[in-house]
Amino acid sequence: MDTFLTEKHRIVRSSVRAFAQREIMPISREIDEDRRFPWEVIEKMGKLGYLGIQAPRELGGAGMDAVSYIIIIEEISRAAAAIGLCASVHNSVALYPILAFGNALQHDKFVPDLAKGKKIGAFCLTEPNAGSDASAIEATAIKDGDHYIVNANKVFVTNGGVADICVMFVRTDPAAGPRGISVIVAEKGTPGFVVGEKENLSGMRANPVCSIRLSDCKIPAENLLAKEGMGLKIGLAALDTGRIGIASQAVGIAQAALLDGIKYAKERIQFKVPIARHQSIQNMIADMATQVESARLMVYRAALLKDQKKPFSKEAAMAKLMASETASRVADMAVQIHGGYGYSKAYGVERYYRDARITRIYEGTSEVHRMVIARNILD
Amino acid sequence: MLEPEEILLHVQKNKYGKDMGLNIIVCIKAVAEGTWGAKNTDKNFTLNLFDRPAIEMAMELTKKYDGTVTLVSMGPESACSALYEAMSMGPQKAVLLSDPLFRESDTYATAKVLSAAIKKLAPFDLLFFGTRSSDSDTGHVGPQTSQMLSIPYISNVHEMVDLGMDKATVERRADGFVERFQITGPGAMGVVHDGTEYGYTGLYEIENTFDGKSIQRWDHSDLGLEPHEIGLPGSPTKIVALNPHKSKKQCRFITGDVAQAAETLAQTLSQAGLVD
Ligand SMILES: Cc1cc2nc3c(=O)[nH]c(=O)nc-3n(C[C@H](O)[C@H](O)[C@H](O)COP(=O)(O)OP(=O)(O)OC[C@H]3O[C@@H](n4cnc5c(N)ncnc54)[C@H](O)[C@@H]3O)c2cc1C
Repeated sequence: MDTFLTEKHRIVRSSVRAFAQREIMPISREIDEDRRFPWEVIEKMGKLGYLGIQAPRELGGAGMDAVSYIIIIEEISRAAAAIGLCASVHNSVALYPILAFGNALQHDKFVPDLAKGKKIGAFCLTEPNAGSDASAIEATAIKDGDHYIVNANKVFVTNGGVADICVMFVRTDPAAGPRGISVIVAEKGTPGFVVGEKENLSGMRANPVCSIRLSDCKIPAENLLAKEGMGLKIGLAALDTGRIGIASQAVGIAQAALLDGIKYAKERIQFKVPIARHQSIQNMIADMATQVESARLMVYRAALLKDQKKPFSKEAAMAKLMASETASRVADMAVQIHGGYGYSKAYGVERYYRDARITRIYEGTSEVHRMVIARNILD
Repeated sequence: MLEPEEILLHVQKNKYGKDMGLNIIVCIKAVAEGTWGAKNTDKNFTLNLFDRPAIEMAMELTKKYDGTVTLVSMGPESACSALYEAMSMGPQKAVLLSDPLFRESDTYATAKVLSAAIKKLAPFDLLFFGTRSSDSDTGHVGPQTSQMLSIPYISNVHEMVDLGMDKATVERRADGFVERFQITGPGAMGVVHDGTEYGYTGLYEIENTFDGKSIQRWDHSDLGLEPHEIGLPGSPTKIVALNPHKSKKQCRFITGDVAQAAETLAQTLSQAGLVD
């Protein structure tokens, strides 16, 4: 992998790794068990620029490229995937659409606080009746003078419990089908903006994933991104970028599982030798390492294409599919290497196993990704 | 050996508003990532952890008094990654001393190369080192280099108490004492961490580092050194053997009820001098 990195990327990696291993790793088990969002860490991440990685420097961001972005998400996710999720969603599907589709006024209003981590962003697309089929959303935003009256019931909002700025998918023209979907930026504190209970999830437990309900919420018309009817286009663009982030999150989980598997295999003695001497374990380690490397290469390629301003949609989808399935498989093997201890919360692999599972579901399920990839190939 | 007039303490000049301010040189080392004994595969070099406090102190001082921090490192081309890492902490200039002839230098030959480079960079006010390196823990290079430059060296400095006119007052910790020294410049010191929060390099600083800053490279001829003075030929120390060493572990079980066991444990540790 190193062969593909510039000096700068390597320094990004070593500095983020130092931070993640010292500040996040030691608390990763506790925040998972207590379902605690570690503000003390998030604040530091904001100061270091991890919450505005690709935002331009004029707007308070670090102004870095997509390769730096995935390096950072991988390293943070390796220490605690739920924090990697926070950073990935905040950077890619919350901040990015505002940057890419917002006007100068919206940039000034939202970007600096998000980029510095003073405010946390969220992405609100999924509803009870609209998951994989995003065009089925029922949330509405009806124009009323210089405002929209917004009603929405959004579920599974990552960062939902702490988010100040929500990129919200709504119908501005309920009669127009998919072309009637738009994106409006909703801010916490607006009357009618209600955050629901935290979801009791299997993994990603340190992330306050919540539902968010807007009831007759009056949102200024100037918060609408781009134009009415652009919603699906914005959503797809955001998810293309988001997928690279989720893919690198999956690589981070897989890397953690691989390293823990190697360590345990060398330490655990059965039949008078370290289990790493048994061929079945060696086969697992070889498969794990090979799969992690190939997933990572695909993620790098997608990010590199993005930096070169070339089409990367298919490559991002392939990388996300590959990396998320790899994370699940590798975490599963890491549990297997740990035997009964792997099924206990005393070791990290049990958490990787739970955390890895969701990467095959959110920001597009594996099935949806196969559809996207096949369409790209067959069209 | 430097002549006194070659070296001027620029703090003084700066106070009268004449010169460019403090000139600090920090010697840093690139170490292979991982623990001691990790393979030197010519890649994955990272900044020696123990050099960070020296860079931090240099940056603090130049923020306060104005001036320039110059990094110097001897190592292969791949050591640049450590220099970049160090530059992302703020220093404005960096020199890599790189030459195949420098290979396999021991601490003495390394100090030769470093002191030659520092002479070339003179005049300067302060010369900083880390206290040790995480890959080969000798702690020799700082004192040896200072000796070759005929300037004073103070080890384990944790605080710069005062810096004025032609004097620097520093504090060092040793054997449970705090010692205060005054030296006339230029002087060298090994800087230790003063226990403040460990700083991580943010993305903003990394981005700044790569904004047009570049690393200068000097080889043996730039430094006026002869091949016999450096590398293996110039190294009086030869490593004869290198074997892993396992320290003996003693294990004693403390039994009994919890309060009593805790008391026994505390006493045992205290008697062994491990806790106060
Ligand atoms: C921890 C977590 C965080 C999340 N964060 C966010 C967030 O921040 N913002 C947000 O908007 N959403 C978020 N989600 C929601 C997530 O994106 C959706 O759960 C996901 O898109 C799938 O939708 P669904 O759950 O409704 O499943 P469904 O769409 O009902 O899918 C059920 C099954 O049917 C399959 N399927 C559906 N349609 C097809 C088809 N056409 N062909 C073949 N198979 C099909 C799916 O692949 C899946 O296997 C999050 C979810 C979780 C669990």
